[in-house]
Amino acid sequence: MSVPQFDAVIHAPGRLQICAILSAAEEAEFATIREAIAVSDSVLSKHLKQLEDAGYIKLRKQAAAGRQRTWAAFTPDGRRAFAAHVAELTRLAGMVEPTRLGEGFSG
Amino acid sequence: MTKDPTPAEALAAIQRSQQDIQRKVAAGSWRYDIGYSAICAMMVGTQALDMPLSTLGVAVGVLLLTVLFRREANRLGVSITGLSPRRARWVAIGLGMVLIPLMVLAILLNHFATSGVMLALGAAALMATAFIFCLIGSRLWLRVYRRETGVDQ
Repeated sequence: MSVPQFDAVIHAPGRLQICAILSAAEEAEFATIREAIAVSDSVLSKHLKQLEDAGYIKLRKQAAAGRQRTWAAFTPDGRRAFAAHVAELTRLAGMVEPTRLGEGFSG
Repeated sequence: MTKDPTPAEALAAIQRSQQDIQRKVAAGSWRYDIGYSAICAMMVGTQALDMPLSTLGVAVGVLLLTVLFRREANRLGVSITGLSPRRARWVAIGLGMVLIPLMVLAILLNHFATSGVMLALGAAALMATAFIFCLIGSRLWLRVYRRETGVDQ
């Protein structure tokens, strides 16, 4: 069981979905991720770059049928960080379940 | 998904994304399973041949399996090792373990067969057994994977 820890790099919607996809597979291909999270090539590239810079994923280029395909996979650090982030989300969701965070306050 | 999702929304988004991928894998492929089973059967059968053909059989088998895995990954857009989730992992390991005694039997057959016909029939029987085991094992893995991930087909 991971120690719950919130991770701002992972939590952004696009990156959260990328990490979820990578947690369900060994490697995922660029086009598959793009279709799954419905973003443009440039937006996905930025998200992948941020995750790669954080040391959470590694990218691999593969030449297939005359074109290059990019594959993304979690690094061990990335897998650990995602598990810790999910543990923290689960903990927070448990805390706010009875009254949703932000509801019932008018400021 | 909103720009700043609540924990519950984030968890729901994670689950949806995981299930999108798991659904692709859970669709399975008879073509893949038959190819995998045929390659494993070939690896078992070639162990009944003399060296270096038996070694060559394993080497070619490993190469073909690598090509098969890569093609399947390209088709799906994701690659999986078969070693997760937990119960599916044990099916995959068990499947690999079944091949070892069959290969040992093929090697023994090569040593103790008294005629060429006996060798050929024995090797064919072992190949058929390996093929059936692998095919059943592959479909079993898929069933366990679907059940464990909660993805219905």
